[in-house]
Amino acid sequence: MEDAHANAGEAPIGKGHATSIWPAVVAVGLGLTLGSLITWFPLIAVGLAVFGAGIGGWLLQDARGIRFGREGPTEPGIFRLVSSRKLGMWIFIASEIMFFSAIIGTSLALRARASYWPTPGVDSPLDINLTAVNTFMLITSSFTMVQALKGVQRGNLRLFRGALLATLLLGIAFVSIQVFEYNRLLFVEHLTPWMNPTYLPDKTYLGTFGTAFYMQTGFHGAHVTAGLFGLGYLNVKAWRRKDWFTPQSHEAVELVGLYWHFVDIVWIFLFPIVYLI
Amino acid sequence: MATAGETGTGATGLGKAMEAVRRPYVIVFLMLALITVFELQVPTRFAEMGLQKSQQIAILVATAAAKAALVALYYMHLRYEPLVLKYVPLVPLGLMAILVLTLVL
Repeated sequence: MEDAHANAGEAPIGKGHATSIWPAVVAVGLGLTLGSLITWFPLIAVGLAVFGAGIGGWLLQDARGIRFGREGPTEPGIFRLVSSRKLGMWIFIASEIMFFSAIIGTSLALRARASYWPTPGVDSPLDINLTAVNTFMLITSSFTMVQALKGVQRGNLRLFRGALLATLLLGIAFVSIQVFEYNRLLFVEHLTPWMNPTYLPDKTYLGTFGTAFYMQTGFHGAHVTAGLFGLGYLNVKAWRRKDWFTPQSHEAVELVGLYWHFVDIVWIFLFPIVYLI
Repeated sequence: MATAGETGTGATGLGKAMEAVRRPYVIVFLMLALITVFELQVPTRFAEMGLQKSQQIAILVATAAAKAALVALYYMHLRYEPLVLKYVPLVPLGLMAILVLTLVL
């Protein structure tokens, strides 16, 4: 009924927003977790507990079918043509652009000041071919994600479910290959996240190369992993019931898709910066 | 026939205007794949042909920007969104340019 009103454009502007407390609990938990890293480390246990409770409460509320606000335009002012939840996701993505800008910028600064930096294909311990495979998988997962959205918008349940599952599997494969690569770099190549005074095979000075590599790819991998939880949840809902997502109500698929495509874009920049240049 | 939901504009009323728009998802995917194959040649084949490091960097930055634009415009549907939403990701991009230049130069 609520969606019917929203789609008919009858909802008064500013009405129908989310009333859930759980997103705020998640934010407090994340704040405590990150704050513990620079203040008092044992606080991380409290932060993670609050974060977990927030996620749990949110998922429970969602599983009960409680709608958070409504799809369609509810924001007054210049954003009146944009769904409030989509606007929220874009603002989140904007903050993530700044987050990754700081990390990539710092890595470029470390590189610019380094006396030596390995050359791809010559003396770099990084495996370009393996990472190229990973890059293709992430690009393909973006394609399957957009196919999933197309499927749910057209009411094509088979396309929706199949493409959504393919996206999840490609994402899992990406993270798995990254873990494999980390294992090789750490234990075979002896490339560490901290200062590398020597690089064992030829005693080449690597300095902060490992720091920059693990910082950039590690944070990206963590974001991919977070996206996998979102995709996993969408898959559970999509495969359990036919009517969770319909052509009229599927904004969650679009929002998780926006996040997933953003993670793909970050990798589009990281791949040449870290592996090819 | 595309639905209003397919346009990604929900109940905005723009849906009907967007119904005729065909979204080139497959073409974008093929372009992304082709550009990636081209990128892989830069540090190997092109470098062997004598391409300077600065030229390699310029090419790879351009190809990465092109790929990112394709994903943002077509897969994230920014091309079909209201103008005001297109500015949301542009604001941090400007800040990013300042930050990177400050750190590197």
